[in-house]
Amino acid sequence: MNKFKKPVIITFFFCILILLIKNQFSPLLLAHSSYGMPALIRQGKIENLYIGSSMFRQGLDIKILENIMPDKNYILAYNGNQPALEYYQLDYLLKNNVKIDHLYIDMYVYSAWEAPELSDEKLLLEIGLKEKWDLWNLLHNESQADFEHFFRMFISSNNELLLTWPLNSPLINSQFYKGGALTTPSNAKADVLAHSSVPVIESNMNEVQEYYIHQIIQLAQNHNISVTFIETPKYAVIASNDSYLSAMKKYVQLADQEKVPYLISENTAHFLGNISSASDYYAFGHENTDYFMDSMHLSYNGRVAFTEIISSKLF
Amino acid sequence: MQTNIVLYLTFSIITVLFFYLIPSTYRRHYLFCVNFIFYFLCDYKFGLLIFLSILWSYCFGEKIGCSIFYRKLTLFLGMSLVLGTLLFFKYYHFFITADNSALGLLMPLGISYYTFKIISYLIDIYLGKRTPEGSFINYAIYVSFFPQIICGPIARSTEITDTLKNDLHFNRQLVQSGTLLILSGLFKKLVIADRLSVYVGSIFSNPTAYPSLALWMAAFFYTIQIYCDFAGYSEIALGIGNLFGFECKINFNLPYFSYNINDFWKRWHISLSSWLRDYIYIPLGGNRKGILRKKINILITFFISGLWHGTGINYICWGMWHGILSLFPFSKAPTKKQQFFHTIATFIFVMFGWVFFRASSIQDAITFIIRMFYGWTININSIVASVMPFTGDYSCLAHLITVCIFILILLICEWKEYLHPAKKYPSKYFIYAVAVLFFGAIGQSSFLYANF
Repeated sequence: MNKFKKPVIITFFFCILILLIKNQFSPLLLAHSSYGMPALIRQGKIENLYIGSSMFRQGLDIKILENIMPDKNYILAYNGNQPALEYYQLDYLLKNNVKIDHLYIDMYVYSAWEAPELSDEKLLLEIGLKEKWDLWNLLHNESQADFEHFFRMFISSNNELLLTWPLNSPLINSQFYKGGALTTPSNAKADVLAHSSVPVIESNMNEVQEYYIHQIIQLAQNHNISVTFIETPKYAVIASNDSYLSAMKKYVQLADQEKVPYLISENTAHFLGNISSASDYYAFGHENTDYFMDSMHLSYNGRVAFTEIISSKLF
Repeated sequence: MQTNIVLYLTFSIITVLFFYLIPSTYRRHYLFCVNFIFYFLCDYKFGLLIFLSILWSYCFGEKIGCSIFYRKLTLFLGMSLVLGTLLFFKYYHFFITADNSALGLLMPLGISYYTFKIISYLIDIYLGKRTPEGSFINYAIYVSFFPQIICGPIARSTEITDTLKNDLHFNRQLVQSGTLLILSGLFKKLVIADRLSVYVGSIFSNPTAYPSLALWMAAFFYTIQIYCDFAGYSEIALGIGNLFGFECKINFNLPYFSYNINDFWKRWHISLSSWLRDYIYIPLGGNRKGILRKKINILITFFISGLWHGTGINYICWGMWHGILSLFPFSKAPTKKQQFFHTIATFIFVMFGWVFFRASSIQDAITFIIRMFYGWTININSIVASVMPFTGDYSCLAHLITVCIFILILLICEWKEYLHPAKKYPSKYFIYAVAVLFFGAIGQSSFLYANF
C-alpha cells in the first residue's frame, strides 16, 4: 500500500500547489492585456469607465469614443454582468487605487432581476485568491451557491485559457482595445430577429441586486465619481415589450430616487411619460435589422450608430 | 443517477465502504440489496421487470440444467420472455409510430445488457459450458450488478458467480488496480468525451450550417468521443467491480490501433463482439460451412449488432458497413511498415461508420457525408466557423487546443501500451488525476452507450 500512498500524496500536493498558483497569480498574466481589470489597475486612472454586460462590449465602439476623448475611456464588460458583481468590480478597482472620474453603468434589467450568479468566468481570471474568496462568500450568502459553484470558481474555471495562454493570449488581445471589442459582428436576418424570444422577467427587481445598485452609487459618491446609467438599445420585440418596459420603469425610479442621471431610449422614455431633468433620451432605430446581431446585441453598424448617439449626448 | 457521474461514483464508494465493514458472510446479501436499490433509484418504474426477468430465467436455468428431455424447448421458453421484453421495448416505437406515448414507453435501464447476460447464462447451461448457478442471490447479483447495468460490459456469468462462491475478502491488489482503472475511465469520459460532446452535438444537429472542415472535425471528434465515452465507462465499471473483488475481462483493447476491421472488432466492445461470436455467429455455422456461408454469417451477425444498437435504419447501415468491411480485410498480417497505413485506413473507415451511428437518420448521415466532400475549402472563414462551435466565444480556440492536447496524451499513453503491453506506466495516472481535477467536465452528463 505504501507504493500506492506515495504517488497519491505527491499528486495531492502537486494539485494544491497548482491551485494556489492559478488562483493567486493569474491576474499577473492580464496586466499587459487590452481588456480586464488588471490592465486598468496598471494604468492607474481613467476618466470614463463603462461597467456593464456584453451589451456594453458589443454596443460601445471604443475607437469612436477614443477619437472624441483620447486615452480617457475604458470598457469593463462581462457576460451577464449584474449590479452585485458590478459593485464588486468597482470596489476592487478603487481598492487598487484606480482613479475614476465618470462611471457609466449598463441598465441591463434581465440580470438585475435575477439572484446574483457568476455569469462570466473571465472575472475569476482577473482577481486573486482573497478576492475570489470574498466573491464566493457574496454568492454563497446571497444566492446559496453550492459546492459545484465553489469547484467551478476555485478549480475548474479558465483552465483551458491558462493551459493555452501563449497561443491564445495574443489572439484574444488582438480582439480588444481598452476593453472594447474590435470584432465586427454582422447583422442578423430579419426573420430570425422577428421570431426571437423575449426573456421572462419577474415582476420585482431582485432585492440583492437592488441593494447593490444603491451600494454602487454610494461607493461612487464616496470617491467623488459621477454616475450615469445607460440603457443599451434592444431590438423592437424586446424594446416594446411590456414586461421589459415595466422593469425599466423600476430601474429609472431607482435612479430618480438616488438622483442619478440616466440615458434611456426614446421608446422607454415614451412609456415612462416624463423623465427627470438631469436625464436624457436618445432616438434609435429599434426596428432596423441592420443594427442588431440578435435581439439584445448590436451589430457593427448598430454599435457605430449607438456610440455616435451617446457620445453626442454624454460629452 | 445514471446520468450524473459524481452521484454514480459517490454511490459506488459508499457501497464499497459498507461492503467491507460488514462480515464477509453477509456481503453477498448486501450486494444483492445494493444492486436493486441502485436500480430503483435510477429507474423505479422497471425495478419489478428486472426482478421478474431474473426470477424467470433463474427458474428456467435450473430446469435446463436438470432436465434431459425438452431442453431445447425449455431454453426457448426461458429466452422468449426476456428477449420478447427487449424486442417490445426496443422496437415498439419503430413499428408503431403513432401515439407512441400511450404506453409511456421508456427504455428500462440496461435492458439490452441484462437481457444478453441472461441469454448467455441460459445458453451456457444448455451447451454444458456451465452448471445452473443454484444460488438465486448469486445469479441475481450477476444479472443486476450495478456497475455494469447502465452500459455493460456484458460479463459472462462465471466471471461473477465464481467469485461469489468464494468469500468476498478485501483484495488490496484488486482495489489498487480498480482505483487506477476508475481514474483512467474518468480521464477518458470527463476530460475528453464530455469536452467533445457539445461540439459534436452542434455540428451533427445542423450539418448544413457548417463548412466541410467542421464536418470532418465533427466526424473525427465523434470517433474519439464515442471511444472515450464508452471505454471510459467500461473502465469505471470494471474498476468498481474490482473494488468489490470481481475481476472481469476488459471491454476495449486499444481499438483504434487495429490494422483491419476484423482486428477492430477483437478490440472494440469485446464483451458484445464475443457474445455475438459465441451466440450468433458460431451457432449459425461460423466458418465451418464454406466461404460463402461464412460471409453470410458475418453479415447476419453484424446486422444483428446494428439492430441491437438501435431501431433506425442508420444503425443497420452502420452494422452492414462493418459487415461488408469485415468481408474484405486489407491483409491478415501486415508488416510493420504497412501496419501504420492500415491502421490509419481502418480508423478512417470506422470514422465513416460512426457518421451513420451518430446521425439521427439515414438521410442525415448521407447528407453529412456528401457535405464532407462537397464544397471543400480551407480559408480563415471556414476555420473560424469550424472552431467557434466549441464555446461560441473567444475561448473556443483554447477549448480546441486543450482537447487536442489531451487526445495526444491519450494517444501517446495507448501507443506505449500497444508497443509494450506488459509494461506499466504509473506516471500516466498522475497526468490523468491532475487532468480530471482541473479539466474534467463535471456535471450532468450521460453515457452514450446507456441509450442502447
